[in-house]
Amino acid sequence: MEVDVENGGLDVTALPDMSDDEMVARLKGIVLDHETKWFYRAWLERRLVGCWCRACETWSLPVRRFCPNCWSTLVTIRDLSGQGHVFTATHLLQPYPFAAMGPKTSASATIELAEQPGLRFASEIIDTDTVRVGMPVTVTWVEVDGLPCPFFRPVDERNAAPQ
Amino acid sequence: MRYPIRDAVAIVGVGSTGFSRSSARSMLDMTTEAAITAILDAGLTKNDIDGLAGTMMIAGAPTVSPMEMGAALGLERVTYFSHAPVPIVFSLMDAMAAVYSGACETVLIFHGVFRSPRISKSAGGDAIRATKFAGLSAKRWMPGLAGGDYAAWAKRYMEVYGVDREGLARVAVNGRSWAVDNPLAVWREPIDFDTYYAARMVREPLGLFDMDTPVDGADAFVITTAERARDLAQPAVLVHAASSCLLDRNADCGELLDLDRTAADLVAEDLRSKSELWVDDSDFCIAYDGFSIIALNWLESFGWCGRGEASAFLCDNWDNKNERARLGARGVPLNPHGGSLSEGGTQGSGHLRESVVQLRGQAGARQVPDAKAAVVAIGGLYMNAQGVVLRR
Repeated sequence: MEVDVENGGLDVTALPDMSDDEMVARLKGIVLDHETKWFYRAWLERRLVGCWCRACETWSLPVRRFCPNCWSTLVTIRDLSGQGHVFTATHLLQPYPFAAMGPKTSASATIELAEQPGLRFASEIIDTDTVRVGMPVTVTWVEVDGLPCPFFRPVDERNAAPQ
Repeated sequence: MRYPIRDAVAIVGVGSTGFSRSSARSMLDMTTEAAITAILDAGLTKNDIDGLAGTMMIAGAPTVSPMEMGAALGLERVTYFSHAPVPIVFSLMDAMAAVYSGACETVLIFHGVFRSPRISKSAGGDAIRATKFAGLSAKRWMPGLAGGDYAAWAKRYMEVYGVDREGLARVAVNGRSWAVDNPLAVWREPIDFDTYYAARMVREPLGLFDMDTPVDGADAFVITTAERARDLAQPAVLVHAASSCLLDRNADCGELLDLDRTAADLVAEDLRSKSELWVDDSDFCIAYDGFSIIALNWLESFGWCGRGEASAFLCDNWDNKNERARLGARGVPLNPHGGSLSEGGTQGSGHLRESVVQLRGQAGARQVPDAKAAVVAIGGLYMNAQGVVLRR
């Protein structure tokens, strides 16, 4: 196998183009690099995206140019459904050191996304008094300091898509 | 299994300042005291130290570099040095490899802890201290666990295995019961279960007594060959095996596949393949407790009990009169120094020091009779799970 550096490139055609300067201005305060910038740039469109490897057909996060499963660079930024379930959760009653306190939510949680077992994203749960592990949730966008952030809220289990 | 370093390297000196929430000392000052204490404890002098292995906390936080340490001690000839992250076993393994390879003869391991004014209210009024943390400005708030990852795993643990906070409470109460007899510990008053449950929640389901306390202080160790150790001042404690493991899913605690596929399980598997001793041979149990949930996980990963059974195991192996755990058929103690929850957060250096002191028979009122071997678990679930097997 040849390591594809020159010709491989993260396929970001799913996202409208934006200059680095504009991204840095609109994503103020977020630590970025030249791969992860696309993940947050998608938030500006209220889209949650992941990496889809066209070679081994697996999803991965965070955004990286090399697929961690097969090392291919045939990686495409693709929209995720925003469906999933609560994998771990906690309620933070005081701010973490070195971080500002965020908006009041029901819990901070790791969401297992519906696309693939083990594909996870850490976020916030809102609109519920009870958060339990395994609870089906769906993405909902909440603007915090001018940035749309992907939060999750419970879905009615009777109407939830099969997982 | 090829493991030539087994029993070839020894811990021959320990030193500690003890741990405090009211110190007005610098990290370098405390680390220097621990280092000098450890070197003198070994019966060595500054000319004997030709290797340095220091620790560092998160990027940007205050640290004592090997360069500062060597200068502070006036070491004239250092032929090996490293500056590894915490917990302490990274530095221990660096020191072992350096001594065993011949890069140097004798390594000083040093680890200082220093309260951040952001983490510790008791440090908040120290204007001099605050200058050390000026580079760590508050970042933008982002959705996510923000340091609550172990609390989030604790919730999953409780829901998946159908247990309440009782096991967490037992880890905390056990530590406080022992710390009464540990003069180095920051918390030396016992707590009862009512006190545990009445304490405020910090990161649900973890409360005040489930999280180790930020402290000031330092630990140091001196490492050399087992052969040289025979001529030194203290009974040698041999490093029988040591391990730090990574899984593929380690960039973030949320990546771990599940509670039964952690780096702690890999450490157990790795140590069992390299060690001739295991938990049935261990005369006490050291299970890292930076958060109480981590200690429950270690009891399970190292096979003291089955998966999801740590809470019931502690309940069944409990001395009600003395409010402390007595594990297994031999009734061995758990964290006899009180653990991080009582001694203060030392990122494992306290757990390692206690193991050495117990194996030397120098633990005073908390001494485990005739302790010969220790299986020691340090670190957490994913990016820093570690273990050591020590023997006399």
